[in-house]
Amino acid sequence: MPAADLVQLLLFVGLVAAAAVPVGSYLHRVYGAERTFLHPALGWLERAVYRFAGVDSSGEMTWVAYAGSVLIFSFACFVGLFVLLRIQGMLPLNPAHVSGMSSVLAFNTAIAFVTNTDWQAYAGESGASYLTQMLGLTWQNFVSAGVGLSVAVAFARGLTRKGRKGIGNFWVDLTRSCLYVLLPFAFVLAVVLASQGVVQNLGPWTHVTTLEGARQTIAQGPVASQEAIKELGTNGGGFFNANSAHPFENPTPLTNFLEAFAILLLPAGLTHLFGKMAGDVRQGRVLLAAMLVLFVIGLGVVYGSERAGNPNLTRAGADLTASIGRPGGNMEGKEVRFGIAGSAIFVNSTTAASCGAVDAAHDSLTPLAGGMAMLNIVLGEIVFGGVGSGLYGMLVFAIIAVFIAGLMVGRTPEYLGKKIGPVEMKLAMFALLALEAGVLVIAGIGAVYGPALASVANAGPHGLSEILYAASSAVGNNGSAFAGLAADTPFWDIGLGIGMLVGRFLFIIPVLAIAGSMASKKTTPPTSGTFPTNGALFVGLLVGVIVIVGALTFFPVFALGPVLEHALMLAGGTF
Amino acid sequence: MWMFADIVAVAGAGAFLCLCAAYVHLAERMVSDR
Repeated sequence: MPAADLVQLLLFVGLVAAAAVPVGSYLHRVYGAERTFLHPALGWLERAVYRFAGVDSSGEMTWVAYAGSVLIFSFACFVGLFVLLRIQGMLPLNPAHVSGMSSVLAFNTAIAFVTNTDWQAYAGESGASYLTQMLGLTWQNFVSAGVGLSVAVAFARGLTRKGRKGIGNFWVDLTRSCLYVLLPFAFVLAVVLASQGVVQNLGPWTHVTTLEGARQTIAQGPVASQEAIKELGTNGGGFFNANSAHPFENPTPLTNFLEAFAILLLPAGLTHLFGKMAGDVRQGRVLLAAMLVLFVIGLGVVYGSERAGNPNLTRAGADLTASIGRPGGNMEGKEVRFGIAGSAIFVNSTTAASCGAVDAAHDSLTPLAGGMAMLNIVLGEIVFGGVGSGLYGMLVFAIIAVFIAGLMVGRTPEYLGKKIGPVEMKLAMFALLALEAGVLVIAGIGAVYGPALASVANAGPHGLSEILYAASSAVGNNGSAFAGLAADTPFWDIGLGIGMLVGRFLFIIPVLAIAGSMASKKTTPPTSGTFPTNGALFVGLLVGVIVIVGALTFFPVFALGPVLEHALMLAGGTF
Repeated sequence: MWMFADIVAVAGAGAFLCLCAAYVHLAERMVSDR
């Protein structure tokens, strides 16, 4: 491994781990209604939002009211965005004369951005006007991430409060998420990205004549402002079709590093927030440690597989070793300016978190690296995961881990001093089963239904991977595309749209129900029969449960997809 | 121009909202019957 790659990988993992404490401490102040350094500048705006919306900021909600608010708000956002996408051709700020989307594409796209998936069955620059990008998509980038943050904080309150009915106020949590967390972080990142060359303008596209005399159209627009929240909010919807591989979105190795770091920043910080809310920061460290273990394993697989490259090329006489001026390994589908290490960091970050931004063609990854990216998604998007959704997904696994530990050693299942009962376990399993059934049902139909198969570009196990990746990406609310699948067809637009809804809301509802159930419980002091959840043993148990429950569910289909493709590649097969 | 497919799309999302409301109701009963 080149030393520069090793330094880059270690620096990235180290910075993510180090950022958890300061970011989590700041988040704790925000959601604890404490005064932050931004209150002098933004406090008046927060109060104005409450006055305008008629929100009683001191009022608490039961979990039912909280869930109802999430659902109503999301439905209203869907309708607004759907209408905007349909009529964008008649609205201003449309210098490229982009026409309105078709009904099924608008259905798919509106759901994608409301559910924080940001799956794009359209080409960013030619499918959405500037007005749509700013008023529709960037707005959704903020509020859908805000919904995820709010639900995570409500879940954490439910687990850590004692004998209470309320789990917070959704409207207050959403407002604070956007005003004190997402907006300032995104503003700073957007300015940094613009300083590195990410474009930000409202001008029409530039038409130029190349040195060869050909005419070329250079698309541009308000990119930096969308790029920042795209990463920080783990949204992932690119301004351009090439997403973060486009030099106007991600021009330098530094921006690549910062964008990948931004993807994991808030999910890492949320673990420390949880520890502080639990009154024991070690509880948060355990979650962070489990995430880091799984992340480093994934990063190692992706990097190692890409560094090794395709043996068929070696057999054909190509030299895949790295040297000065030559990256070596598998560079197909990668940007030369990012190389293998930068691309591996981005691939693993964007799939471990439910971001979905891409700086390389995932379809061109080696089978094991592509399989690892898919595995990150189907684990439930809990390896850092989405903003908020990563924390509440990991906490669902923590509840299951505690229960399994209780079954194995005869100890009382308790988490944070509260007994885990049959109701919480059923709700936790409902949440996980919604994800896993959603992925497998959509992928299963896609693998046998003729019109769905017509969209698949490759034969054999690689074709199955393309189908499985699309279903996983939608239900996991990731949004990245493997490529090789023509997604803008009625089957995929509607099927993946439904999958995104299932993955988002049929997970959030049981999570909030668990929060409501746990909030009303009283804590009991730890006894010799209590399984400690703040030490290294629980990290191992949690990782084991995630791998067993999450990964083995998908082992058969992975065996037929990326694993088989890897074996055939070693035997000289291509697809 | 509004098309039948637009109405179906919004109604479909609305139907999913109703499904979620029913899910919330069932989960509420599970929690309160504990």
